[in-house]
Amino acid sequence: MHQIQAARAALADFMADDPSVVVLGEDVRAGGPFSLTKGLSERFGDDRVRDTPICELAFTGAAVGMALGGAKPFIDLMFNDFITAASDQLFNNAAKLHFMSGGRYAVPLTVWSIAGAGTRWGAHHSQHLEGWLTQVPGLKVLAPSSPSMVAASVRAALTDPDPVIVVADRTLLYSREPLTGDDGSPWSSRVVQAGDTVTLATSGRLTHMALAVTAELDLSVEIVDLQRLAPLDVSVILRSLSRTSRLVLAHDEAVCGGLLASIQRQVYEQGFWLLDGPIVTVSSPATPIPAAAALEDAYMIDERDLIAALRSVVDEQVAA
Amino acid sequence: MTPAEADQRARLVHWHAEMMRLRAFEEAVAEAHAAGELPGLLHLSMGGEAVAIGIFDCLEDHDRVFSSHRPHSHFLAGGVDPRLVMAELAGRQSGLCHGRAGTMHLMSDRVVMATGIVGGTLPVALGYAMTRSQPAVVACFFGDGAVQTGAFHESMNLAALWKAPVLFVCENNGWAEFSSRDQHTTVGNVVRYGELYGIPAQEVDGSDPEAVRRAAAELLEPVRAGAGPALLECHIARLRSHYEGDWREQTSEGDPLLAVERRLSELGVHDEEINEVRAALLADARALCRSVLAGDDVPDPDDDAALVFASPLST
Repeated sequence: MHQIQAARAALADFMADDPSVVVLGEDVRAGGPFSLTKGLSERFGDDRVRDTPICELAFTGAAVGMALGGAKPFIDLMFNDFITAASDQLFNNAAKLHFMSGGRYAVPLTVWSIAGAGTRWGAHHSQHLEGWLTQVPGLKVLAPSSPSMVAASVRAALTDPDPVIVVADRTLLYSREPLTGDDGSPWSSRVVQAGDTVTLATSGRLTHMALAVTAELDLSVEIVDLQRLAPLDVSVILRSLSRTSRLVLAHDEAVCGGLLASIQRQVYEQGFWLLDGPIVTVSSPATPIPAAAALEDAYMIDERDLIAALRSVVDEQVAA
Repeated sequence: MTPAEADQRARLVHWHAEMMRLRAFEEAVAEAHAAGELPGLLHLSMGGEAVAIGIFDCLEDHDRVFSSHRPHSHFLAGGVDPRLVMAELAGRQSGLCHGRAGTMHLMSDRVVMATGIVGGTLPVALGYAMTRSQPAVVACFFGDGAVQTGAFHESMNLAALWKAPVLFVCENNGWAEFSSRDQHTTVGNVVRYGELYGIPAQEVDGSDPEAVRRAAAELLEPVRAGAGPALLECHIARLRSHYEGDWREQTSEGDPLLAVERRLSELGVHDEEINEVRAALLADARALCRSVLAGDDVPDPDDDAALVFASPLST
């Protein structure tokens, strides 16, 4: 199964077992743009698979209300970029109501959202906004990188009593590639390739790219697939660093602020003495994502960027 | 006096006493805030008492309510223990939300939530309503400032489309923060949006609890029967500035207590009776505030981290 099929199967199985799960989103009865919800309304009825108008704010808010009322809503927010339109309800209500109610209410909400450039679709359908999401206490963010983990993330999100945003990598939606550790938990980072010279921590398409490029390199690279982006947990990175003492972080985001800054902060605070030298990060420039093919290709992280980062961290730190 | 008149008199006396209870709470809160004893960004609900009383009179125990950023009267009229509300305002562990909410974000079982984001409860209320079984309904209070938000229009459209059992109750006090309504919109009355979205709608004098109750009862009948949402615009006064402590005195005329008192006078209820009850209620509210401030424990910041999630993950 590819990732969309795996997500759909996991969602359908969960809906069959738990009648409180309700799917909401634009065109979900017709299957949505990537056929995530294809066939679900025929199987579970229109009351459990609810089409919404193009109103991310209201249907996300409605999902929060359904969660408060005892349902388990699953919303297809389509693109990460559309989180901007839903953000008041996600950031101010979904994330905060358990805390602000003193524990009286929980918000068991699952948000499905895809992220990633490479489609020439421009700056409103390509962003990775995990960096924003990780800044809001109260949200859980999963970024699965293989079909099994996409399915496990959907199940984990629907089982969890808190709001969980599952960010699927646009580039991998039709990928069938498995990864080492596919039978583990989606809630913790995993080592998908063991190595002892340098640790490369990343997720999504870059995890697969890292596996491909390091197969050709004369470097022993340990690859950590991050999986859980919020709340952040760097313990797997720290364990890896105790062997490699060198760290490269890569994520498809603009270099300003972001997820990698949060990871660096935790690693420096908790694991500074494990490092032989500075952490090297790989990300995209601080510009909106351009649409033209030549510009978007230049914007996106590629194999050469990963290799250069791995080389630099080893060469400079060995030379020093 | 006919039996019907006697009934009306007794009901109005009861409602008026309830309205005075809500007012006394806010007066005690305002005094303590002005004295620097109560913290918070307080938006008092003085002026909306008749709306709160009239709406709750139509609601059953199984109905649920969503509130706005002027929530105190909604919670008190909804039967929430005033001590829990006062302790929450005071930031005490004994508060309704253990001091994690404060004035604008109160949450309880029956009055589910208030909000610091104008319009923020409108979509939540309609989603919550979709989980209720007939004949239960949801009532959602909001101010006229919320009507200019996208959340209002998205929610009206979605609620109508889904036939959500919600009574949307607009408390139109003519002010949106520091601007009058005509500085925010070219649309006259909020009730006009009912026709646009195909939602039954009425507007009433929100200083008259009987008028509010009658209109809400009429509108709720089809909502309970599954016909979809309804909209009630209540014209009320804002008796205080936007928030407590603001130097601008942007208020409006139309104290609902005085309006009800004029009617009571016609029905032969004497000022002395009213003043006696009023004084007792204000004394109670002040005593409650003093008692909470003097006796209730402050929350422990060490407990905060465990409250972020219902199911915390290891980090």
